[in-house]
Amino acid sequence: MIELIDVHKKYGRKKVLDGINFTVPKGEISTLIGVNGVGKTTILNHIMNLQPVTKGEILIDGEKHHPGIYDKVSFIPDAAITLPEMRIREAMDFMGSFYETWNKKRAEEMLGFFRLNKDDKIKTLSKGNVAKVNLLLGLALDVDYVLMDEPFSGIDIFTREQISEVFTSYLVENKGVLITTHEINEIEFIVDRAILMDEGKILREFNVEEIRETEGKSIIDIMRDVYSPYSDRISNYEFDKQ
Amino acid sequence: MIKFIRLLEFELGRFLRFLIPAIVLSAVIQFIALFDTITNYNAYLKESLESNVPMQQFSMHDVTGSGLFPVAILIVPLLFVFYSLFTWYREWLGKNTFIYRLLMLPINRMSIFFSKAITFLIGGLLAFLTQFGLYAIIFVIFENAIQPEYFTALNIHNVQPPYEMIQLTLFPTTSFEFLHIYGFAFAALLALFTAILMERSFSVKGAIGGIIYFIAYFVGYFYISALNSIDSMPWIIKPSHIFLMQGAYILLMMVISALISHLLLKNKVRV
Repeated sequence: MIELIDVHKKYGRKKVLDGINFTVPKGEISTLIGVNGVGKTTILNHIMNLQPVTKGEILIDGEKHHPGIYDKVSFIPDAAITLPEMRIREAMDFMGSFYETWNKKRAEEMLGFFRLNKDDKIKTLSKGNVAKVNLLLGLALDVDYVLMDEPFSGIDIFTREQISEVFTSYLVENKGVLITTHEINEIEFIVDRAILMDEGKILREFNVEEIRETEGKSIIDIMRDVYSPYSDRISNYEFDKQ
Repeated sequence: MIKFIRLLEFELGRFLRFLIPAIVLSAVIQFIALFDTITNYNAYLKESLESNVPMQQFSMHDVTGSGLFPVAILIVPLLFVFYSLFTWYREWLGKNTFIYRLLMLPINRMSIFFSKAITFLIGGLLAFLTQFGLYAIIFVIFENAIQPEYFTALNIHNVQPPYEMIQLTLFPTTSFEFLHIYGFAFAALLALFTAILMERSFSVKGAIGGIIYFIAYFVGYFYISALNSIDSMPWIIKPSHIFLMQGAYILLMMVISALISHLLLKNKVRV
């Protein structure tokens, strides 16, 4: 499992993360929820050692960070991270030449699933197709954990549906998945655990199915309870959903 | 090791997209300078025959002394200076943030540092050899275009005297000088890479620290070079010893830059 133990992050005097503790177990889909700027992306960057923590520790299957971790954890950011002049085929070859866990067969299958043309250059792709390429490159690795940053952000409805299908497919089966998102509706019925954040702190962590059965509440209902002092932010969520 | 070689090949491919056009452009300008000199020679020859004025001697200095020639020679070194910054900042800036992918490769992050640095070494060697090849070709063409009685042959190391600084710096005449000058430049490159990584790790504070580190590298080197000129020094150091001290300093700075960069890439750098 991925463990975050008392993780703090400061930018100058500003506290971005203030004592974050949670785990991402294998075989479950967890989601980090919170408005923009609460530190969701920072957490993912910390897990991937793309940003140093100010204090605290992150363990992956009990190990501290080392280069081999990237064959264990895959990160799918919400920005284009492939060279614009590369063709999709070249980006796949690049991954194949560095990652032991690159699964070429699965990558080819995903090309078909996402209806991507491997001779297309990255710079000619729409935002939705860039997101699909990111997913392809991240999910074609036979890793134990997958981190996804805002996979639905700025994506059209048809692409959203395709991305949602990924979460119910064999592509994430038995993996520990951590998603950050605003789009609660898209993931309501696929996530196992939800972690609600605000101002760099975790406000609540719960098992979605358990809450549905015991309290009859959805993720949005719990968000209303938790964020009630911040009703203006709740309306932002409603706005985002439109 | 195989992954490092793949990364090096990848970085080299990216650099050659800039270096080859620069070398071609430089070569084209050098040939323009050559043909301009040959045209002048023909004009002089015609004038000399018509007016019976004695003909002047021509040598490679007439080609390299043409205003265009130093511009051509400096294109490639200027590209190296530009690319030494661009090779890092291109990974962070722009529409696609490739630094994510580079930092998430399952390899020691120093491979990124060394692949970029060795790309410069290979590129530098390629540019150096190409220029010597070009000199040889220009030499042969020029020699054949000028009548032997008006042609003064020059050693290839002396073809640039009008620009002695360029000649001494870019085209050293002995292997020791070559190692010394290019070693100095390579250590300066590593110091610059370290300065860039300081900036990428600590933003403004890092930029200030990086600039100080980069300048300190030159100050240290020139301090050693000037040891004998300091009047208060109680001893005189042999030039060969100064040369050795400079060499040791260059090596030491390469190691220090690599160590600092290792720590920054491992623990401090951010996307």
